Amino acid sequence: MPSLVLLKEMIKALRRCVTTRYPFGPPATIIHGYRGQPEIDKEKCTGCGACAQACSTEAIRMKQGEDARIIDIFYGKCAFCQRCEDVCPEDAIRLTERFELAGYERESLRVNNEVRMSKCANCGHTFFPDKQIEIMKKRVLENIKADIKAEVQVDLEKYSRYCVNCRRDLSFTMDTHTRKWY
Amino acid sequence: MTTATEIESALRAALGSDLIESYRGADNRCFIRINRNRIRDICRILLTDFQARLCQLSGMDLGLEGLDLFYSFSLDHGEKGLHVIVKANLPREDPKIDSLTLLTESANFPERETAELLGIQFLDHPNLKHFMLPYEWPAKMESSSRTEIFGEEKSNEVQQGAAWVPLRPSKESMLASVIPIGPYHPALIETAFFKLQVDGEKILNADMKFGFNHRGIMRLMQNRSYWRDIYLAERVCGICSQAHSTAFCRTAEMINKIDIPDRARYIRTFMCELERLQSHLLWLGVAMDLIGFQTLFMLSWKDREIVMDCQEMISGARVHKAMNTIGGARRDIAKEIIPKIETKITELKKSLVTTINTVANDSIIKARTKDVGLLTKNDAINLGVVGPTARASGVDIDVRRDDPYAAYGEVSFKVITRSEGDVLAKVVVRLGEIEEALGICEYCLDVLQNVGGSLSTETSEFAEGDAFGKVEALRGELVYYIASDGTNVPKAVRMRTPSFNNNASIPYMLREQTIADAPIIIGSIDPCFSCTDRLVELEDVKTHRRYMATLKQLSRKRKRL
Amino acid sequence: MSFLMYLADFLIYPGLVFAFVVGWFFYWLFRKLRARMQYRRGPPWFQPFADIIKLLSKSSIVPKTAHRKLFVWLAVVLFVSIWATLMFIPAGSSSAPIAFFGDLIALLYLLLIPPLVFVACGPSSSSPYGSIGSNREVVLMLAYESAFTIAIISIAFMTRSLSLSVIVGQQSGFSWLIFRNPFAAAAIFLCLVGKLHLKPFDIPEAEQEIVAGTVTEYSGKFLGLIEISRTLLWYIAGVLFADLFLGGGDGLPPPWCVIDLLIKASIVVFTLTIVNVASARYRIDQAFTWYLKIPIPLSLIGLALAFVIGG
Repeated sequence: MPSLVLLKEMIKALRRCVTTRYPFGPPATIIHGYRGQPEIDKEKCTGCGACAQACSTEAIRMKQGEDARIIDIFYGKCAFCQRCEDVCPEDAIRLTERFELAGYERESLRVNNEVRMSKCANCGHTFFPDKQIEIMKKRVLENIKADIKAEVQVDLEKYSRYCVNCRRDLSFTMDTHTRKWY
Repeated sequence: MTTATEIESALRAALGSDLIESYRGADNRCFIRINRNRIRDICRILLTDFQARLCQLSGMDLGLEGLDLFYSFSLDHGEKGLHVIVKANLPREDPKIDSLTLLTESANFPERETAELLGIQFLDHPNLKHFMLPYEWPAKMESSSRTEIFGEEKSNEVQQGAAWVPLRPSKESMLASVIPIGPYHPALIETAFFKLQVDGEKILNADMKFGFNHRGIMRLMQNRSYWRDIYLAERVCGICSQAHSTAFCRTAEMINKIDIPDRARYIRTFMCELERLQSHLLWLGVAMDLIGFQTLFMLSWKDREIVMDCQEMISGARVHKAMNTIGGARRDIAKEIIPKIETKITELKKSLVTTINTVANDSIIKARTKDVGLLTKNDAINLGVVGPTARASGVDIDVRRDDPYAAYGEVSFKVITRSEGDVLAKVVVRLGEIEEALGICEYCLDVLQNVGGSLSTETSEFAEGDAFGKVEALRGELVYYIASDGTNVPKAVRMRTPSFNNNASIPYMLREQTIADAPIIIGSIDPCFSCTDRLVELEDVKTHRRYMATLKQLSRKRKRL
Repeated sequence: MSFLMYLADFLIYPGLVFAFVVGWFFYWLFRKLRARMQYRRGPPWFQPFADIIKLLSKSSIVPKTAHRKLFVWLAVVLFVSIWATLMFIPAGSSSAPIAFFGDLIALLYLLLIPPLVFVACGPSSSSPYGSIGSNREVVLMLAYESAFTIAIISIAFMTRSLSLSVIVGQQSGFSWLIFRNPFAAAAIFLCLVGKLHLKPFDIPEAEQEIVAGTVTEYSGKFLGLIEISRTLLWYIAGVLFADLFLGGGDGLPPPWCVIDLLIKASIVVFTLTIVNVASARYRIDQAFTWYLKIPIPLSLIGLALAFVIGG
């Protein structure tokens, strides 16, 4: 026959419920650090594609367009593993605490970020995203030795508008060739 | 205590030139490559002379180099972590090797699985039926060996000339009716099929079929880099996700023979024990539900919610915790969170008093679980069952003590065993493990508050070679084998989950029991059918015809000749 | 005129509508209390009614291998027999619509029909779960019907009458039978646990073992009829116990007698819920031996007490 301990527990249970009337009751309390929907900060993202390479389920894909690179996240495949946040060099992609992602159409689960690409001033082909060039310039100048900084800065302004091939072809004309350092 | 060198010399003496090469791996693993004709001899030596236990039996397809089988024997009751992994190469044109089933019953299921995976014919196997695939899967494939192995369309009949004598069905069993449990049944959380031949309430025979949740995970792992594979390994099973992820990381680290930092070791131990808590509480609820005690089901799952909250606080998700990376831990347990977790563990301890008290004192629970579903110690050793199922029958094996990984070498804990082997013994063993897990968690939290250091050792390249890693998952010993070819994508990943071995004990436990006890007996091994069904897809697939197969009932009693 | 009164009794009070509404309330009370005692919220008040409406609006499937006539008509027989039983039970007023000397025996026989119908449902649906369920139902019936009958006979002996209305009348003024013969009351209470298929004796419908037992293959409108019958059975269980042992309507003027009766019956339902929530499920052989060990001796003691005390 039922034990006294159990009966006491049952009477105690009459006083409160552990279940809530979701979604009509109080909103769910989310603990800080919850791994929810990944979100791209459009200001910081340079379109490098590290997240697409790291994504364990191929939910993030990088598509190369004519003059824009599209980073496309499909939440239907996302496993919320946080690898994208781990590898992003710019801290642009972050897992928010949103978890209510259900929608009526597949397209509501798709989010993308377009990053503009630069065109080479010489040959006209698209080569790198704009933002990546800006960041490259900034990082090189931050970390370069003080005695050569001024000259490097002048050179950077010159060749950052050209694609890799044109840069190579025009390096003597523009006097940005590395032979001058030897 | 047998050491690795002793075993190697004994085997070399016995085999002579048939032992082609031998090398050592990390953590006291001995790899030996032999001529395939001597497999029975070596197995006999290891099983009888050294009391080894067959852990895993699987293989890989190496293309032109043939099919490579490996047999893992665990001798860790001797020296800690001692394993002998025997490899044999079979040429593609002649994939035949002797079966080990007559020596140890624990080779039965793995051989069936490997036969359908690679097309290997195990000679003298008593019951070479399809294991994962449906019984009616067409045997007529391009490779003639498949027809040879599984016979023509009626692949559910016994191979002719086998050393096994089927009993004539008695008049009693001809009049018996058949009760199916599954694939859809309120008693089962996952899909499996049990076919009980009954006479009134008494069960005469039981047959079972798995493979309904087959997702092809091992094949997927061979396409992805190691770091992406951690997340795939995690998703083999939701309840034992940390165990799979730890096993994968441990095995990958053993390929490079790297050590992980202290803080990472304690984090891994803590997360594994936290997962053990939530799994055993889940199992308690499910087992109580299977005998009809809905209240205790709700109460123990309420306690489980405390553990899930802890996991969410630490790792950001309730189920797939993603705390491991190759080389250590990926995410730290922040110092501010530790007091909160300690509060929750104290709350859990208080709340568990009611649950455990009720289970111990309730007369109906005792009536339903005592002397029900007995598994004798001999059967347990022979079938190769692991985990709480084995410990409840008196077999004293525990990977945390015998082959320490993470921080288990430094944490003191008891290994709970019982000798009765019935369902009540399994309940008691798991309740004891809950208590031990709480103790280990508190110890780890104390250590984590003081120990500092980095979280992981940087790993970016993988050496060529292979490794064999084990962890004590929640249902028993979980075994991973990874073969690496030097790239960042594994060549082969083979896992053997504990439920794979434990499922073999179901027919033995179900005999002479009633239908009313069937669900609790099946539930007492804590079956995780998602873990069991994770095989690789076959390479040649033809369209299979649909026809009604009459699954004839075969008696499972075997006579050893 | 009397035919219309009779029809009103049959259909409304204490017939189908009254019994269904009260049964709905009792069944909801049972589910809500069970949930609350398990830290859950429980269904809203209209849940049993919503379930039945949903079932009646779905298509009904009859298995191809089932005995079609039996399968269909058994559900109807169950419903009609319970409906007929309602006329014999006083609901508040001191006498039932059908009251005559010996109506207690007729009630006993009518109360045998639902379990027998359940037993027949199983094999008629040609489901293996059904046959196992009927097996169990037969054994359980053997177990609890004996104790039930002996206890009823001891009540009849004590009150020197075989009419339920007279028994209710005799308990006026707080001389309730539960005080005079608690053993018979305990025996009948324990038998009610088995009759309503509450834990620890919900063996014939053990969900985890045999899906739904005898009614596994029933769906749609037939299952709706069976659910209505189950709701009416809750009414009968509560009100019958209140009539037999707790004084029924206590002779109060209507509508107080009805409210009085409902309060008593709700207390019975509450106690049944507590027993249900705090127990696991027995195996059928263990249930049979348990019935042999406790309710049958209790009812025999009650019978002996009735002999000794007399009337």
